[in-house]
Amino acid sequence: MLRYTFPFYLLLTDTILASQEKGGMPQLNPDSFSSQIFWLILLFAVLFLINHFFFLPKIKKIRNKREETIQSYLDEAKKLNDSFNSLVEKMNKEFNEAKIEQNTLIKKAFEENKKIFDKKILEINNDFEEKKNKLNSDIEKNKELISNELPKLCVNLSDNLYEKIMGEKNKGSVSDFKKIIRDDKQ
Amino acid sequence: MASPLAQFEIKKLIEMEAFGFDLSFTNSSLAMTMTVFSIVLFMYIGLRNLEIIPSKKQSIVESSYEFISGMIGDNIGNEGMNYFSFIFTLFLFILVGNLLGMLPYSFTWTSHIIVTFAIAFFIFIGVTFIAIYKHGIVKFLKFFAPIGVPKPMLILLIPIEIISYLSRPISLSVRLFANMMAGHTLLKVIGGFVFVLGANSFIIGGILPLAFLIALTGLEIVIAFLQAYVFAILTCLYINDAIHLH
Repeated sequence: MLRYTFPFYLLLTDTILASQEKGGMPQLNPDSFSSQIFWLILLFAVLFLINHFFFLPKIKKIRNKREETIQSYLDEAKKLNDSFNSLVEKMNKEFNEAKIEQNTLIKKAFEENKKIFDKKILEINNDFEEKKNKLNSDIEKNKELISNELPKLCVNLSDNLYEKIMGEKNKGSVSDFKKIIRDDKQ
Repeated sequence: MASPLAQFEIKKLIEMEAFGFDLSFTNSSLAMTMTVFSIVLFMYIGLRNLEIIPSKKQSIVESSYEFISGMIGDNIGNEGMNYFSFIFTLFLFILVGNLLGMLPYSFTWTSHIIVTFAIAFFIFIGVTFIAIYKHGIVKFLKFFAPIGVPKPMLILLIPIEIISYLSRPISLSVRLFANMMAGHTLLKVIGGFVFVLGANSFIIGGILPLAFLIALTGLEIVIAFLQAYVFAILTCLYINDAIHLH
């Protein structure tokens, strides 16, 4: 196995020797300090300037633009919402007005109909009453007529029956008939 | 076996010198250049076609913007937005530096104390300057004397406050440097185990350390994010102290 890994050891030898020569932490070797500080300042300054004057203003600009766009959309949405709300309010108002008007109309029609109905009922009742009175008077009249005519007819009928049965004529009187009826009732 | 610290060795790629200082372009400078290049590429690709409804690439760039903006908003407030470019650049610079360092055969420039210390020191100087500029030297010095503390206690507290203030660049830089160096050293050591154990036991012995190495790589990536975040958030807190004092 060592045979296969030997080339790797050879590759590493250079570094091993370098570190062994100097020894300790390379970080504490002051030889490179000036170069490191110089390049740090230079490169950091370059990066800072690029960021400060080129990239960051770009990000700021696009973010502001985005915020403005969002704000304009929000404003528009608010405006739309407001107009929608006012429309809803207007619609509700109109709906309520229509409802009130409809109720008034229904009430008015109902009252008119009630009046007509009551009038008709009154007419019918009057008519009925009139007819009833007329009928009653007719009945009374007929009753009187019958009560006047009936004794005569009964006397005639009895006279006729008497003549047929007995073969002789008899002349009965209405007053007798009434007397008989009165006695029966008693 | 190679020393686990050999990976932090600075190698000169192009030798340069100015005013008696060695300004050579080294492997560390190359890694830093790659970091800057990667960030510029990331930003360029993300912001190439700007749309109000962002594409995925644009969203990623914008989310990093939002992340930093949220961090500044939470820790400093609206005044902190003046320092947005700096904190944004700092966070991305350290983050990408840490992440690129995770690539095999690359170099982690954040594992060098001089670099992290230089950044932390500049932040320290900047923050102190902001505090003095905003509040004047007297008010700034009062920052070291906490309000409502009995006078005898101030004899003890003022030196402690001054030491804690002065140790800010050290703690800030050492935190990042130590984390990155320790992580990469550990990866190298475990990598060595994989190599040696695998070579001496027909590969089988290397499986366990390899699994461990993979898990550790995942952890290191998390640490790369975490350390960049910690560095940026502490910078925010220091700037907040400078702006508002307390």
